[in-house]
Amino acid sequence: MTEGHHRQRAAELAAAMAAAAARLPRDWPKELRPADPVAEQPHNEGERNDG
Amino acid sequence: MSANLHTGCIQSGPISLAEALAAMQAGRLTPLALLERCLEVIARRDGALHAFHHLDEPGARQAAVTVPRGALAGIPWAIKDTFDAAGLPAMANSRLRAGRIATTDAALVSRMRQEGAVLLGKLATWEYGTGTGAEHFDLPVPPARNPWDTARFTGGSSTGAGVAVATGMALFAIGSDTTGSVRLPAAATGCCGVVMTPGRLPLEGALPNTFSMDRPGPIAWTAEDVAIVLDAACGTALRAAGKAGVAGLRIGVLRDPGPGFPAPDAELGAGLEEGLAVLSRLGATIRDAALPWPASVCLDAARLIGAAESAAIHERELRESPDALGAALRDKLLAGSGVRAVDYLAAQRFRRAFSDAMAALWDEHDVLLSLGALHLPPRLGVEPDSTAYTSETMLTPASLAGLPALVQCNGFSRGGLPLHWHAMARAGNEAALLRLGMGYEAATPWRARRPA
Repeated sequence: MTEGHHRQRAAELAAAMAAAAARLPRDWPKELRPADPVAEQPHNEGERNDG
Repeated sequence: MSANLHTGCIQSGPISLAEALAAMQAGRLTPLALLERCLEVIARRDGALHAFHHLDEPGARQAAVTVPRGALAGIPWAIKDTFDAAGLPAMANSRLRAGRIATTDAALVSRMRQEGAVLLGKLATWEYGTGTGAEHFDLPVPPARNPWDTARFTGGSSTGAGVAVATGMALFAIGSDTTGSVRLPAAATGCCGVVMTPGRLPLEGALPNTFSMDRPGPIAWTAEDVAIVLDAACGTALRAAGKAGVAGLRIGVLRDPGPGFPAPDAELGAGLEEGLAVLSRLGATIRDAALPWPASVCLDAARLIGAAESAAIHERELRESPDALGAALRDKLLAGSGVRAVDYLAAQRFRRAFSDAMAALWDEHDVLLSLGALHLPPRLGVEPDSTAYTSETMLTPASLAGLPALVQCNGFSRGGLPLHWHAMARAGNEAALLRLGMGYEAATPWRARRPA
């Protein structure tokens, strides 16, 4: 493939990515900063239950 | 069952990991005899199926004759060629890694050796363990083929893992899963595949696909076999937990993938309903459930995150050697290079909101059950079927939210292809998945059928 082909393909794929991004919800409420960022709730806090 | 434990006779077909351990414990099977069975299947079938990128027969024989000890003593297994194993080729199906020999073991390889498992070699993968879902037949090693119909796709990117297990070439395999690369091959080949809560299985010594979504995971013939592997790998007691069975599980059913995805193939949908009837008879509580956002939005977010992170990881390869890359990886990296920072961050913000919303579902459900893929395995290289098969799935919600998940076979299509379902649970609650998987397989006949 030539560099021109790569550029054209990159443009097509970038458009697909932009379309995916446009489908995402984005209108999130503004979050005030916590007093202690370290105290933010981490994800995946589930109680372990592996028997 | 292939091993007749009452007469002491070991039949010649593939056996499960649990059956092999029991037979070896009873003195009716030796590690070397078990290895010979696997090597015979590989010799007979892998010329057509391409499950292995590299077979280490001398190393496996040496491991089998040294009286292995541990929870997996004498069990032949194999690993996706994106994990390093000292002394073995580590090419990851990329021309850019041709001739590379690993000098150390990935953490999981080391752990399996400590438990006495016999490493057969390296399994087929897409280039660097990633891609777009399309097969271009342009990689150094040809694509693996589905043993249920060799014209069909195996699921990717751990393309050899399900093939090796379903045929009895190996009794279990380890792959890696970013948005379904363990679970989709398990679904396509009729096996059981599991991803655990992030961090429970180590990724050290594996090639990265993304920074934030990669997980290793085992594929085996039965859910019980997967539990045995996980218990050996990370010290859980999931085999014992799974024996508690299905009774009392609160199962939420996600029938509708939501807007943006097509309706599932009819035979997959029928398999889900028939399986639910079994679970109900076994004492589970079945209720309808819904994702907080459609699975198609999860796919959009996962694509943005995955492509951008892959592009960052492989930036040099794309910049310096784009023509040495296969078309699927090159396309993914080109796509990721074009993701705007604000779009990547929007995807990560959605991921957090989605994860938080999912957490609320566990008050009512122990397990969320759905299809994994919405289609039966497509013919290899046929587009847009291949890309639709890998992208139109119910697998990405668990990837985004970091939830443990299990895929298992729940029947067969009229054409003889495996059907499946996908279960996910609260982070840390792998036990609920194994209760479902082990209870269901013990009550149904599907594990008796292997690809001819």
